[in-house]
Amino acid sequence: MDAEERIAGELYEVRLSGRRWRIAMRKSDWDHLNTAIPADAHFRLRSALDHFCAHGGDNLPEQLFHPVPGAQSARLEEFVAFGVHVIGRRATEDPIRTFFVTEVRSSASEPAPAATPQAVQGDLPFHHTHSRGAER
Amino acid sequence: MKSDKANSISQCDADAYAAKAAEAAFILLAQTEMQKIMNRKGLRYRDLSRRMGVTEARISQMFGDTATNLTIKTVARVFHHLGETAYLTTLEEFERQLAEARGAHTDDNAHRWTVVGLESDKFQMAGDVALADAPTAADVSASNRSFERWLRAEAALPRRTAAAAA
Repeated sequence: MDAEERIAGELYEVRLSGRRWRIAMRKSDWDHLNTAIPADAHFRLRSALDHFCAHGGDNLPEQLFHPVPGAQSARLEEFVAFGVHVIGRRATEDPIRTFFVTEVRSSASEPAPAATPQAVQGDLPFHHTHSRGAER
Repeated sequence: MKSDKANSISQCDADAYAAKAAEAAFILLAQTEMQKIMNRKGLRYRDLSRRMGVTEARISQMFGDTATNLTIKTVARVFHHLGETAYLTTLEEFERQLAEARGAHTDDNAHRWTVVGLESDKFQMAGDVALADAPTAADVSASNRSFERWLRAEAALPRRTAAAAA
């Protein structure tokens, strides 16, 4: 969600917590993650955030969790799944370790997978479908 | 951001949601376990691709969003080429085995667990940290209150607790 779309004065709240970390974000970002992104992205991100809270980010695949490329602040990190970016930073001065989500956005260059035959195929039981281009 | 109606979370009922969430969590678990081994052994995707005889792009795909078709065979093969053996069980069974290995008793005396000593007649956990029966906090003399506080702090750390006191 773009910054200008956020409701002014929204406060951060802890949305997820685990043994290692907790994740805080604004209500609008939290709602956005839960309702306005493709299901595949939602489930992938939710499992990544849960894993981060329980175990930290050390063993998450690099594609899924990494420093934001080209960010002005080296401390910005992002979870990325199916073109949806959950960007934030770890609070260093907070005694309870918290990852503050500063932005949730989708990248225009990475279309949501729901439009691809492969993504649709995952929802169809017992048989496979192929795009015409793949039938060779 | 556009929401995709054909693939929307709002179309999931509770059962479908839980099933999809479990699916995503298990795929991520497989990926993080493979990544953990690679991190521990200092291996990169390139190294694994050479060991498995596949392209680096294929390895990268195994760790990416589109690894939804990651098969058990593939996971077993990756573990094999990383020099490990994959082992599948339920979380409940895993926790039971872990508790058994730690010599755990019931939860009612869990607050008495602690970590002591450098040697053990039970088993070695890691490095020079070993587990053995320890005195309860009540047994610690009043003159050693700082040690008692330390015991409590240790007991509060879930991964460092072990071995129920006698």
